[in-house]
Amino acid sequence: MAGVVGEVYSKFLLRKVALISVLLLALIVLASVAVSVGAASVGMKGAISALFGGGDRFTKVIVLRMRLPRVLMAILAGAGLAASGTVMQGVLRNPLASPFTLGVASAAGFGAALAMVLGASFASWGKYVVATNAFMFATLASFLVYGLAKLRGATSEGMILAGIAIMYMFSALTSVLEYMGKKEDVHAIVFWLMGNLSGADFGKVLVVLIVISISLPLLIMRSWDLNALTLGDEAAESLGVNVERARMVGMVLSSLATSGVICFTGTIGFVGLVSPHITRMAIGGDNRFLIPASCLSGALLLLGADTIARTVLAPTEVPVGIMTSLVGIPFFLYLLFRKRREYWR
Amino acid sequence: MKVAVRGISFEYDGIPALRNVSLEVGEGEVVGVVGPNGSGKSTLLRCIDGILRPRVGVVLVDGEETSKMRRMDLARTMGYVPQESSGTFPIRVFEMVLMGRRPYVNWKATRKDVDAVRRVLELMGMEHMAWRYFQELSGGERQKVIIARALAQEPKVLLLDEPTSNLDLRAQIEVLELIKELVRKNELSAMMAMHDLNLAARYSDKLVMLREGQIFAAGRPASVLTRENVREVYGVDVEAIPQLVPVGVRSGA
Repeated sequence: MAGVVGEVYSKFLLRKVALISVLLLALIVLASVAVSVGAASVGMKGAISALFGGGDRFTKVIVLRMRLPRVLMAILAGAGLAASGTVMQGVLRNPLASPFTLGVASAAGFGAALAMVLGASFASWGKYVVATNAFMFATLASFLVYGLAKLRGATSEGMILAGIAIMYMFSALTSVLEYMGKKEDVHAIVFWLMGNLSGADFGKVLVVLIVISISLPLLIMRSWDLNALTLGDEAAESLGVNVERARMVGMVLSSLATSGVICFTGTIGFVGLVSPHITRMAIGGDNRFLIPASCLSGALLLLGADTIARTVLAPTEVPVGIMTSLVGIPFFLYLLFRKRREYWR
Repeated sequence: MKVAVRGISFEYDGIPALRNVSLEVGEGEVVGVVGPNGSGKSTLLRCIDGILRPRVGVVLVDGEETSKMRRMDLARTMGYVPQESSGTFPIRVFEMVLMGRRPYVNWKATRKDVDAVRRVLELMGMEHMAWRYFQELSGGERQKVIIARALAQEPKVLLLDEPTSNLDLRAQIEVLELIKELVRKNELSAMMAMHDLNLAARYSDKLVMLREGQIFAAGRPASVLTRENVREVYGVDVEAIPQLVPVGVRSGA
Protein backbone atom coordinates (compact mmCIF):
# COMPACT_ATOMS: atom_id res chain seq x y z
CA MET A 1 0.00 0.00 0.00
CA ALA A 2 1.45 3.30 -1.06
CA GLY A 3 -0.62 5.22 1.46
CA VAL A 4 -2.62 8.36 1.08
CA VAL A 5 0.40 10.59 1.35
CA GLY A 6 2.07 8.72 -1.49
CA GLU A 7 -0.97 9.10 -3.72
CA VAL A 8 -1.15 12.80 -3.01
CA TYR A 9 2.50 13.06 -3.96
CA SER A 10 1.85 11.32 -7.28
CA LYS A 11 -0.93 13.77 -8.04
CA PHE A 12 1.31 16.59 -6.91
CA LEU A 13 3.92 15.54 -9.48
CA LEU A 14 1.31 14.93 -12.14
CA ARG A 15 0.13 18.52 -11.76
CA LYS A 16 3.68 19.72 -12.35
CA VAL A 17 4.01 17.60 -15.47
CA ALA A 18 0.64 18.87 -16.68
CA LEU A 19 1.71 22.46 -16.16
CA ILE A 20 4.90 21.85 -18.14
CA SER A 21 2.84 20.34 -20.97
CA VAL A 22 0.54 23.36 -20.99
CA LEU A 23 3.53 25.69 -21.16
CA LEU A 24 4.99 23.68 -24.03
CA LEU A 25 1.73 23.80 -25.91
CA ALA A 26 1.44 27.53 -25.32
CA LEU A 27 4.96 28.00 -26.65
CA ILE A 28 4.14 26.09 -29.84
CA VAL A 29 1.03 28.20 -30.37
CA LEU A 30 2.89 31.43 -29.69
CA ALA A 31 5.71 30.42 -32.04
CA SER A 32 3.18 29.76 -34.82
CA VAL A 33 1.66 33.18 -34.26
CA ALA A 34 5.11 34.78 -34.16
CA VAL A 35 6.16 33.44 -37.57
CA SER A 36 2.85 34.61 -39.06
CA VAL A 37 2.81 38.22 -37.90
CA GLY A 38 5.07 41.05 -38.94
CA ALA A 39 5.51 43.78 -41.52
CA ALA A 40 4.64 41.44 -44.38
CA SER A 41 1.38 39.64 -43.74
CA VAL A 42 1.59 35.97 -44.67
CA GLY A 43 -1.14 34.59 -42.42
CA MET A 44 -0.83 31.66 -40.09
CA LYS A 45 -1.85 29.09 -42.69
CA GLY A 46 0.76 30.31 -45.17
CA ALA A 47 3.41 30.53 -42.48
CA ILE A 48 2.83 27.01 -41.24
CA SER A 49 2.77 25.49 -44.70
CA ALA A 50 6.04 27.33 -45.41
CA LEU A 51 7.53 25.76 -42.30
CA PHE A 52 6.74 22.33 -43.70
CA GLY A 53 8.20 23.14 -47.11
CA GLY A 54 5.06 24.34 -48.91
CA GLY A 55 3.83 27.76 -50.00
CA ASP A 56 5.17 30.29 -52.50
CA ARG A 57 8.73 31.51 -52.65
CA PHE A 58 8.04 34.94 -51.14
CA THR A 59 6.35 33.46 -48.08
CA LYS A 60 9.16 30.94 -47.69
CA VAL A 61 11.80 33.66 -47.64
CA ILE A 62 9.88 35.76 -45.14
CA VAL A 63 9.07 32.89 -42.82
CA LEU A 64 12.13 30.68 -43.06
CA ARG A 65 14.91 33.21 -43.60
CA MET A 66 13.68 36.20 -41.67
CA ARG A 67 11.28 35.16 -38.96
CA LEU A 68 12.16 31.59 -38.06
CA PRO A 69 15.74 32.27 -36.88
CA ARG A 70 14.51 35.14 -34.80
CA VAL A 71 11.72 33.13 -33.23
CA LEU A 72 14.10 30.26 -32.50
CA MET A 73 16.61 32.67 -31.02
CA ALA A 74 13.94 34.17 -28.76
CA ILE A 75 12.96 30.70 -27.55
CA LEU A 76 16.52 29.55 -26.91
CA ALA A 77 17.61 32.83 -25.34
CA GLY A 78 14.57 32.99 -23.08
CA ALA A 79 15.06 29.38 -22.03
CA GLY A 80 18.77 29.80 -21.38
CA LEU A 81 18.46 33.01 -19.40
CA ALA A 82 15.54 31.75 -17.32
CA ALA A 83 17.29 28.47 -16.49
CA SER A 84 20.46 30.34 -15.51
CA GLY A 85 18.51 32.68 -13.27
CA THR A 86 16.72 29.77 -11.61
CA VAL A 87 19.96 27.99 -10.86
CA MET A 88 21.73 31.13 -9.66
CA GLN A 89 18.90 32.03 -7.29
CA GLY A 90 18.95 28.49 -5.95
CA VAL A 91 22.65 27.95 -5.44
CA LEU A 92 23.12 31.43 -4.00
CA ARG A 93 19.92 31.16 -1.94
CA ASN A 94 19.11 34.68 -2.99
CA PRO A 95 15.94 35.80 -4.75
CA LEU A 96 17.78 38.77 -6.29
CA ALA A 97 20.43 36.73 -8.02
CA SER A 98 20.39 36.67 -11.81
CA PRO A 99 22.94 36.59 -14.60
CA PHE A 100 23.12 40.35 -14.14
CA THR A 101 23.83 40.56 -10.44
CA LEU A 102 26.89 38.39 -10.93
CA GLY A 103 28.65 40.57 -13.42
CA VAL A 104 28.41 38.10 -16.30
CA ALA A 105 26.15 40.37 -18.33
CA SER A 106 28.04 43.58 -17.72
CA ALA A 107 31.30 41.85 -18.61
CA ALA A 108 29.75 40.62 -21.85
CA GLY A 109 28.61 44.19 -22.50
CA PHE A 110 32.13 45.47 -22.00
CA GLY A 111 33.54 42.78 -24.30
CA ALA A 112 31.08 43.72 -27.03
CA ALA A 113 31.69 47.43 -26.56
CA LEU A 114 35.45 46.93 -26.75
CA ALA A 115 35.12 45.02 -30.01
CA MET A 116 32.91 47.76 -31.44
CA VAL A 117 35.22 50.60 -30.43
CA LEU A 118 38.12 48.71 -31.96
CA GLY A 119 36.17 48.64 -35.19
CA ALA A 120 34.89 45.10 -35.38
CA SER A 121 31.24 45.99 -35.74
CA PHE A 122 31.50 47.06 -39.36
CA ALA A 123 33.71 44.23 -40.59
CA SER A 124 32.03 41.37 -42.43
CA TRP A 125 32.86 38.90 -39.64
CA GLY A 126 32.21 41.67 -37.16
CA LYS A 127 29.13 40.22 -35.57
CA TYR A 128 31.03 37.08 -34.61
CA VAL A 129 34.00 39.09 -33.36
CA VAL A 130 31.69 41.12 -31.14
CA ALA A 131 29.99 37.97 -29.91
CA THR A 132 33.26 36.12 -29.30
CA ASN A 133 34.67 39.03 -27.37
CA ALA A 134 31.48 39.34 -25.32
CA PHE A 135 31.61 35.63 -24.56
CA MET A 136 35.26 35.79 -23.57
CA PHE A 137 34.74 38.64 -21.17
CA ALA A 138 31.65 36.99 -19.68
CA THR A 139 33.68 33.86 -19.05
CA LEU A 140 36.50 35.94 -17.61
CA ALA A 141 34.03 37.60 -15.23
CA SER A 142 32.73 34.23 -14.04
CA PHE A 143 36.23 33.05 -13.29
CA LEU A 144 36.99 36.29 -11.47
CA VAL A 145 33.87 35.87 -9.36
CA TYR A 146 34.67 32.24 -8.53
CA GLY A 147 38.30 33.06 -7.83
CA LEU A 148 37.42 35.91 -5.48
CA ALA A 149 34.64 33.96 -3.81
CA LYS A 150 36.85 30.92 -3.37
CA LEU A 151 39.18 32.98 -1.22
CA ARG A 152 36.30 33.09 1.24
CA GLY A 153 35.25 29.46 0.91
CA ALA A 154 32.74 29.93 -1.93
CA THR A 155 29.89 31.03 0.34
CA SER A 156 26.82 32.47 -1.33
CA GLU A 157 27.40 35.88 0.29
CA GLY A 158 31.00 35.90 -0.94
CA MET A 159 29.91 35.11 -4.47
CA ILE A 160 27.19 37.75 -4.54
CA LEU A 161 29.51 40.45 -3.21
CA ALA A 162 32.27 39.47 -5.61
CA GLY A 163 29.74 39.39 -8.45
CA ILE A 164 28.38 42.83 -7.69
CA ALA A 165 31.90 44.25 -7.47
CA ILE A 166 32.76 42.74 -10.87
CA MET A 167 29.50 44.05 -12.31
CA TYR A 168 30.28 47.62 -11.26
CA MET A 169 33.82 47.35 -12.52
CA PHE A 170 32.77 46.29 -16.01
CA SER A 171 29.94 48.85 -16.16
CA ALA A 172 32.48 51.53 -15.31
CA LEU A 173 34.82 50.27 -18.02
CA THR A 174 31.96 50.27 -20.54
CA SER A 175 31.16 53.85 -19.53
CA VAL A 176 34.78 54.77 -20.23
CA LEU A 177 34.42 53.39 -23.76
CA GLU A 178 31.11 55.22 -24.25
CA TYR A 179 32.63 58.42 -23.00
CA MET A 180 35.71 58.20 -25.22
CA GLY A 181 34.16 56.44 -28.21
CA LYS A 182 33.10 57.87 -31.56
CA LYS A 183 29.47 58.81 -31.93
CA GLU A 184 28.48 55.87 -34.14
CA ASP A 185 30.33 53.43 -31.86
CA VAL A 186 28.49 54.77 -28.84
CA HIS A 187 25.23 54.36 -30.68
CA ALA A 188 26.07 50.75 -31.50
CA ILE A 189 27.09 50.08 -27.90
CA VAL A 190 23.89 51.53 -26.47
CA PHE A 191 21.85 49.52 -28.95
CA TRP A 192 23.73 46.34 -28.01
CA LEU A 193 23.29 46.96 -24.30
CA MET A 194 19.53 47.32 -24.68
CA GLY A 195 19.43 43.85 -26.12
CA ASN A 196 17.72 42.81 -29.31
CA LEU A 197 17.08 39.77 -31.42
CA SER A 198 17.06 41.44 -34.82
CA GLY A 199 20.49 40.10 -35.77
CA ALA A 200 19.46 36.47 -35.36
CA ASP A 201 20.45 34.03 -38.12
CA PHE A 202 20.73 30.26 -38.31
CA GLY A 203 24.46 30.32 -37.56
CA LYS A 204 23.92 32.07 -34.24
CA VAL A 205 20.90 29.93 -33.45
CA LEU A 206 23.05 26.85 -33.93
CA VAL A 207 25.77 28.10 -31.60
CA VAL A 208 23.26 29.01 -28.88
CA LEU A 209 21.52 25.67 -29.34
CA ILE A 210 24.80 23.83 -28.80
CA VAL A 211 25.69 25.82 -25.68
CA ILE A 212 22.26 25.35 -24.18
CA SER A 213 21.90 21.70 -24.99
CA ILE A 214 25.17 21.08 -23.19
CA SER A 215 24.55 23.17 -20.10
CA LEU A 216 20.85 22.72 -19.35
CA PRO A 217 20.71 18.91 -19.24
CA LEU A 218 23.76 18.92 -16.97
CA LEU A 219 21.95 21.35 -14.66
CA ILE A 220 18.69 19.40 -14.66
CA MET A 221 20.64 16.23 -13.85
CA ARG A 222 21.91 17.95 -10.71
CA SER A 223 18.43 18.95 -9.51
CA TRP A 224 18.69 17.16 -6.17
CA ASP A 225 21.97 18.86 -5.36
CA LEU A 226 20.47 22.20 -6.31
CA ASN A 227 17.42 21.48 -4.17
CA ALA A 228 19.64 20.57 -1.24
CA LEU A 229 21.66 23.77 -1.60
CA THR A 230 18.56 25.88 -1.00
CA LEU A 231 18.24 24.28 2.46
CA GLY A 232 21.53 25.75 3.64
CA ASP A 233 25.14 24.65 3.33
CA GLU A 234 25.22 22.59 6.52
CA ALA A 235 22.01 20.77 5.72
CA ALA A 236 23.14 20.07 2.16
CA GLU A 237 26.52 18.82 3.34
CA SER A 238 24.90 16.45 5.83
CA LEU A 239 22.69 15.11 3.02
CA GLY A 240 25.85 14.05 1.21
CA VAL A 241 26.23 16.98 -1.17
CA ASN A 242 29.69 18.36 -1.86
CA VAL A 243 28.48 21.91 -1.32
CA GLU A 244 31.43 23.82 -2.67
CA ARG A 245 31.66 21.74 -5.82
CA ALA A 246 27.90 21.68 -6.43
CA ARG A 247 27.76 25.46 -6.12
CA MET A 248 30.72 25.93 -8.45
CA VAL A 249 29.36 23.53 -11.07
CA GLY A 250 25.94 25.19 -10.92
CA MET A 251 27.45 28.62 -11.35
CA VAL A 252 29.82 27.60 -14.17
CA LEU A 253 27.08 25.90 -16.17
CA SER A 254 24.57 28.70 -15.73
CA SER A 255 27.19 31.31 -16.55
CA LEU A 256 28.04 29.35 -19.67
CA ALA A 257 24.40 29.32 -20.77
CA THR A 258 24.06 33.04 -20.01
CA SER A 259 27.23 33.98 -21.87
CA GLY A 260 26.30 31.83 -24.83
CA VAL A 261 22.99 33.67 -25.14
CA ILE A 262 23.82 37.27 -24.39
CA CYS A 263 26.94 37.38 -26.56
CA PHE A 264 24.48 37.29 -29.50
CA THR A 265 21.46 39.06 -28.09
CA GLY A 266 22.98 41.78 -25.96
CA THR A 267 21.93 42.23 -22.38
CA ILE A 268 18.31 41.22 -22.41
CA GLY A 269 17.40 42.15 -18.92
CA PHE A 270 14.99 40.70 -16.60
CA VAL A 271 14.01 37.36 -18.14
CA GLY A 272 16.62 35.70 -15.95
CA LEU A 273 15.31 37.34 -12.82
CA VAL A 274 11.58 37.22 -13.31
CA SER A 275 10.82 33.98 -15.14
CA PRO A 276 12.24 31.85 -12.33
CA HIS A 277 10.08 33.63 -9.78
CA ILE A 278 6.92 33.44 -11.84
CA THR A 279 7.56 29.77 -12.48
CA ARG A 280 8.47 28.97 -8.89
CA MET A 281 5.18 30.49 -7.75
CA ALA A 282 3.30 28.23 -10.15
CA ILE A 283 5.19 24.95 -9.91
CA GLY A 284 7.14 25.03 -6.64
CA GLY A 285 10.84 24.87 -5.89
CA ASP A 286 11.74 21.33 -6.98
CA ASN A 287 14.40 21.94 -9.62
CA ARG A 288 13.56 18.73 -11.48
CA PHE A 289 10.42 20.50 -12.67
CA LEU A 290 11.33 24.09 -11.98
CA ILE A 291 14.23 24.28 -14.44
CA PRO A 292 12.35 22.88 -17.45
CA ALA A 293 9.28 24.95 -16.61
CA SER A 294 11.41 28.09 -16.21
CA CYS A 295 12.92 27.45 -19.63
CA LEU A 296 9.45 27.35 -21.15
CA SER A 297 8.15 30.40 -19.32
CA GLY A 298 11.33 32.32 -20.16
CA ALA A 299 10.93 31.35 -23.80
CA LEU A 300 7.28 32.42 -23.73
CA LEU A 301 8.09 35.73 -22.10
CA LEU A 302 10.92 36.57 -24.46
CA LEU A 303 9.16 35.39 -27.60
CA GLY A 304 5.99 37.22 -26.61
CA ALA A 305 7.90 40.40 -25.82
CA ASP A 306 9.90 40.20 -29.06
CA THR A 307 6.81 39.61 -31.17
CA ILE A 308 5.18 42.65 -29.63
CA ALA A 309 8.42 44.62 -29.94
CA ARG A 310 8.67 44.09 -33.68
CA THR A 311 4.98 44.53 -34.50
CA VAL A 312 3.50 47.11 -32.15
CA LEU A 313 5.15 50.12 -33.81
CA ALA A 314 5.92 48.39 -37.14
CA PRO A 315 7.91 49.08 -39.20
CA THR A 316 9.83 50.62 -36.27
CA GLU A 317 11.13 48.16 -33.69
CA VAL A 318 11.25 48.59 -29.95
CA PRO A 319 14.35 46.89 -28.48
CA VAL A 320 13.21 43.64 -26.93
CA GLY A 321 15.06 44.32 -23.69
CA ILE A 322 12.75 47.26 -23.08
CA MET A 323 9.70 45.25 -24.07
CA THR A 324 10.51 42.31 -21.78
CA SER A 325 10.59 44.64 -18.83
CA LEU A 326 7.42 46.45 -19.87
CA VAL A 327 5.57 43.16 -20.36
CA GLY A 328 7.14 41.21 -17.54
CA ILE A 329 7.19 43.65 -14.64
CA PRO A 330 3.42 44.26 -14.30
CA PHE A 331 2.75 40.53 -14.54
CA PHE A 332 5.45 39.78 -12.01
CA LEU A 333 4.23 42.39 -9.54
CA TYR A 334 0.69 41.14 -9.88
CA LEU A 335 1.75 37.59 -9.04
CA LEU A 336 4.05 38.69 -6.26
CA PHE A 337 1.47 40.69 -4.38
CA ARG A 338 -1.40 38.35 -5.05
CA LYS A 339 0.54 35.40 -3.69
CA ARG A 340 2.58 37.22 -1.10
CA ARG A 341 1.20 35.18 1.77
CA GLU A 342 2.75 32.03 0.43
CA TYR A 343 5.74 33.54 -1.19
CA TRP A 344 8.44 35.57 0.55
CA ARG A 345 8.80 34.70 4.20
CA MET B 1 29.76 0.66 20.69
CA LYS B 2 28.23 2.76 17.94
CA VAL B 3 30.01 6.08 17.66
CA ALA B 4 33.52 6.61 18.92
CA VAL B 5 35.28 9.95 18.75
CA ARG B 6 39.01 9.58 19.28
CA GLY B 7 41.17 12.57 20.03
CA ILE B 8 39.79 15.05 17.53
CA SER B 9 41.05 18.62 17.34
CA PHE B 10 39.81 21.39 15.11
CA GLU B 11 40.75 25.00 14.54
CA TYR B 12 39.13 27.88 12.66
CA ASP B 13 41.91 29.83 10.91
CA GLY B 14 44.42 28.93 13.58
CA ILE B 15 42.08 29.54 16.52
CA PRO B 16 41.58 26.25 18.32
CA ALA B 17 37.94 25.24 18.74
CA LEU B 18 38.29 21.62 19.80
CA ARG B 19 41.23 20.06 21.58
CA ASN B 20 41.73 16.34 21.87
CA VAL B 21 38.09 15.39 22.37
CA SER B 22 37.24 11.73 22.83
CA LEU B 23 33.88 10.23 23.65
CA GLU B 24 31.59 7.34 22.88
CA VAL B 25 27.88 7.01 22.20
CA GLY B 26 26.20 3.63 22.53
CA GLU B 27 23.14 2.24 20.77
CA GLY B 28 19.87 3.60 22.08
CA GLU B 29 21.78 6.24 23.98
CA VAL B 30 21.39 10.02 24.07
CA VAL B 31 24.48 12.01 24.89
CA GLY B 32 23.97 15.67 25.75
CA VAL B 33 26.72 18.15 25.02
CA VAL B 34 26.69 21.20 27.27
CA GLY B 35 28.99 24.14 27.75
CA PRO B 36 28.96 27.92 27.35
CA ASN B 37 28.75 29.69 23.98
CA GLY B 38 31.94 29.15 22.03
CA SER B 39 32.94 26.08 24.00
CA GLY B 40 32.84 23.93 20.87
CA LYS B 41 29.46 22.17 21.05
CA SER B 42 28.42 22.89 17.46
CA THR B 43 31.95 22.40 16.17
CA LEU B 44 32.02 18.96 17.76
CA LEU B 45 28.76 17.91 16.08
CA ARG B 46 29.92 19.28 12.72
CA CYS B 47 33.20 17.41 12.99
CA ILE B 48 31.36 14.18 13.74
CA ASP B 49 29.03 14.70 10.78
CA GLY B 50 31.94 15.46 8.47
CA ILE B 51 30.73 18.99 7.68
CA LEU B 52 34.04 20.03 9.20
CA ARG B 53 37.16 17.93 8.84
CA PRO B 54 39.06 17.56 12.13
CA ARG B 55 42.77 18.32 11.88
CA VAL B 56 43.69 15.30 13.94
CA GLY B 57 41.75 12.42 15.41
CA VAL B 58 39.13 10.11 13.96
CA VAL B 59 35.41 9.48 14.19
CA LEU B 60 34.39 5.84 14.05
CA VAL B 61 30.92 4.42 13.42
CA ASP B 62 30.79 0.70 14.14
CA GLY B 63 34.55 0.73 13.88
CA GLU B 64 34.62 2.37 10.45
CA GLU B 65 36.43 5.67 10.00
CA THR B 66 33.96 8.25 8.73
CA SER B 67 36.62 10.26 6.90
CA LYS B 68 37.19 7.23 4.67
CA MET B 69 33.50 6.69 3.90
CA ARG B 70 31.89 7.97 0.72
CA ARG B 71 29.80 11.09 1.23
CA MET B 72 26.59 9.30 0.35
CA ASP B 73 27.34 6.41 2.70
CA LEU B 74 28.06 8.86 5.47
CA ALA B 75 24.77 10.64 4.76
CA ARG B 76 23.00 7.28 5.07
CA THR B 77 24.69 6.72 8.42
CA MET B 78 24.28 10.10 10.09
CA GLY B 79 21.38 12.50 10.22
CA TYR B 80 22.05 16.07 11.27
CA VAL B 81 19.57 18.65 12.52
CA PRO B 82 21.07 22.13 12.22
CA GLN B 83 20.40 24.94 14.67
CA GLU B 84 18.19 26.97 12.40
CA SER B 85 16.36 25.98 9.24
CA SER B 86 14.39 28.39 7.17
CA GLY B 87 14.49 27.31 3.55
CA THR B 88 15.01 30.13 1.07
CA PHE B 89 12.03 29.40 -1.13
CA PRO B 90 8.61 28.05 -0.17
CA ILE B 91 8.74 24.29 0.24
CA ARG B 92 6.12 21.86 1.41
CA VAL B 93 6.65 19.65 4.44
CA PHE B 94 6.55 16.51 2.32
CA GLU B 95 9.20 17.85 -0.02
CA MET B 96 11.36 18.94 2.90
CA VAL B 97 11.28 15.46 4.43
CA LEU B 98 11.82 13.90 1.00
CA MET B 99 15.14 15.80 0.85
CA GLY B 100 16.29 13.35 3.50
CA ARG B 101 16.20 10.73 0.74
CA ARG B 102 18.87 12.64 -1.18
CA PRO B 103 21.54 10.05 -0.27
CA TYR B 104 19.37 7.33 -1.85
CA VAL B 105 17.85 8.80 -4.99
CA ASN B 106 19.37 9.37 -8.38
CA TRP B 107 16.78 11.51 -10.09
CA LYS B 108 13.37 10.03 -9.60
CA ALA B 109 12.06 9.50 -6.09
CA THR B 110 10.96 5.86 -6.10
CA ARG B 111 8.01 4.31 -4.31
CA LYS B 112 10.47 3.21 -1.65
CA ASP B 113 11.53 6.81 -1.02
CA VAL B 114 7.95 8.05 -0.88
CA ASP B 115 7.11 5.20 1.48
CA ALA B 116 10.02 6.06 3.73
CA VAL B 117 8.80 9.65 3.96
CA ARG B 118 5.26 8.48 4.70
CA ARG B 119 6.50 6.16 7.47
CA VAL B 120 8.50 8.92 9.11
CA LEU B 121 5.57 11.34 8.95
CA GLU B 122 3.29 8.70 10.45
CA LEU B 123 5.76 7.83 13.15
CA MET B 124 5.86 11.47 14.17
CA GLY B 125 2.12 11.99 13.80
CA MET B 126 2.62 14.62 11.12
CA GLU B 127 0.74 13.25 8.09
CA HIS B 128 -1.88 15.97 8.45
CA MET B 129 0.66 18.69 7.77
CA ALA B 130 2.45 16.99 4.86
CA TRP B 131 1.13 19.45 2.29
CA ARG B 132 1.48 22.62 4.30
CA TYR B 133 4.30 25.02 3.60
CA PHE B 134 7.26 24.57 5.89
CA GLN B 135 7.56 28.33 6.24
CA GLU B 136 4.05 28.60 7.67
CA LEU B 137 4.68 26.24 10.57
CA SER B 138 5.48 27.15 14.15
CA GLY B 139 9.03 26.83 15.43
CA GLY B 140 8.31 23.53 17.15
CA GLU B 141 6.63 22.05 14.09
CA ARG B 142 9.55 23.11 11.91
CA GLN B 143 12.02 21.50 14.24
CA LYS B 144 10.03 18.27 14.04
CA VAL B 145 10.02 18.46 10.24
CA ILE B 146 13.80 18.78 10.19
CA ILE B 147 14.09 15.84 12.59
CA ALA B 148 11.79 13.93 10.24
CA ARG B 149 14.10 14.82 7.35
CA ALA B 150 17.06 13.46 9.30
CA LEU B 151 15.11 10.26 10.04
CA ALA B 152 14.23 9.85 6.36
CA GLN B 153 17.97 9.40 5.84
CA GLU B 154 17.50 6.17 7.84
CA PRO B 155 20.55 6.97 9.90
CA LYS B 156 22.14 5.06 12.73
CA VAL B 157 23.39 8.26 14.30
CA LEU B 158 21.37 11.39 14.99
CA LEU B 159 23.13 14.69 15.65
CA LEU B 160 21.10 17.65 16.88
CA ASP B 161 22.44 21.17 17.33
CA GLU B 162 20.43 22.90 20.05
CA PRO B 163 17.14 21.29 19.02
CA THR B 164 15.10 23.29 21.54
CA SER B 165 16.72 26.72 21.68
CA ASN B 166 13.94 28.64 19.88
CA LEU B 167 10.98 26.69 21.20
CA ASP B 168 8.45 27.38 23.91
CA LEU B 169 8.25 25.17 26.97
CA ARG B 170 5.72 22.74 25.58
CA ALA B 171 7.42 22.42 22.22
CA GLN B 172 10.76 21.84 23.97
CA ILE B 173 9.34 18.92 25.92
CA GLU B 174 7.57 17.51 22.89
CA VAL B 175 10.69 17.59 20.75
CA LEU B 176 12.92 16.08 23.43
CA GLU B 177 10.39 13.36 24.28
CA LEU B 178 10.20 12.56 20.61
CA ILE B 179 13.97 12.32 20.25
CA LYS B 180 14.22 10.09 23.29
CA GLU B 181 11.47 7.81 22.03
CA LEU B 182 12.94 7.60 18.51
CA VAL B 183 16.38 6.77 19.87
CA ARG B 184 15.01 3.97 22.07
CA LYS B 185 12.71 2.55 19.41
CA ASN B 186 15.17 2.57 16.54
CA GLU B 187 18.32 1.89 18.53
CA LEU B 188 19.90 5.09 17.31
CA SER B 189 22.88 6.81 18.80
CA ALA B 190 22.09 10.46 19.43
CA MET B 191 24.12 13.48 20.38
CA MET B 192 22.54 16.83 21.09
CA ALA B 193 24.07 20.15 21.95
CA MET B 194 22.01 21.90 24.63
CA HIS B 195 21.95 25.17 26.52
CA ASP B 196 19.28 24.30 29.06
CA LEU B 197 21.10 22.27 31.68
CA ASN B 198 17.92 20.98 33.35
CA LEU B 199 16.50 19.68 30.09
CA ALA B 200 19.87 18.29 29.10
CA ALA B 201 20.11 16.40 32.35
CA ARG B 202 16.58 15.11 32.08
CA TYR B 203 16.75 13.83 28.51
CA SER B 204 20.32 12.61 28.24
CA ASP B 205 21.76 9.31 29.39
CA LYS B 206 25.20 10.85 29.54
CA LEU B 207 26.45 14.41 29.51
CA VAL B 208 29.63 15.84 28.10
CA MET B 209 30.57 19.25 29.44
CA LEU B 210 32.89 21.29 27.24
CA ARG B 211 35.05 24.22 28.20
CA GLU B 212 37.15 26.03 25.61
CA GLY B 213 37.07 23.08 23.27
CA GLN B 214 38.05 20.50 25.83
CA ILE B 215 36.01 18.00 27.77
CA PHE B 216 35.76 19.30 31.30
CA ALA B 217 33.53 16.58 32.65
CA ALA B 218 31.67 13.57 31.28
CA GLY B 219 29.42 10.91 32.70
CA ARG B 220 25.98 10.53 34.26
CA PRO B 221 24.11 13.86 34.33
CA ALA B 222 24.12 14.04 38.11
CA SER B 223 27.86 13.61 38.27
CA VAL B 224 28.52 16.23 35.57
CA LEU B 225 26.12 18.95 36.67
CA THR B 226 27.60 19.61 40.06
CA ARG B 227 27.73 23.05 41.63
CA GLU B 228 31.50 23.06 41.33
CA ASN B 229 31.48 22.15 37.62
CA VAL B 230 28.83 24.72 36.70
CA ARG B 231 30.66 27.42 38.67
CA GLU B 232 33.96 26.48 37.07
CA VAL B 233 32.71 26.20 33.46
CA TYR B 234 29.91 28.80 33.29
CA GLY B 235 31.08 31.11 36.08
CA VAL B 236 27.62 30.90 37.61
CA ASP B 237 26.75 29.98 41.17
CA VAL B 238 23.83 27.58 41.30
CA GLU B 239 21.96 25.87 44.04
CA ALA B 240 19.46 23.10 43.91
CA ILE B 241 16.26 24.93 44.70
CA PRO B 242 12.80 23.45 44.20
CA GLN B 243 11.98 23.92 40.54
CA LEU B 244 9.31 23.06 38.01
CA VAL B 245 10.34 19.86 36.34
CA PRO B 246 8.19 19.10 33.31
CA VAL B 247 7.41 15.42 33.24
CA GLY B 248 5.33 15.19 30.10
CA VAL B 249 2.78 16.85 27.87
CA ARG B 250 -0.90 16.48 28.66
CA SER B 251 -2.79 15.35 25.68
CA GLY B 252 -5.58 17.66 24.65
CA ALA B 253 -4.08 20.64 26.46
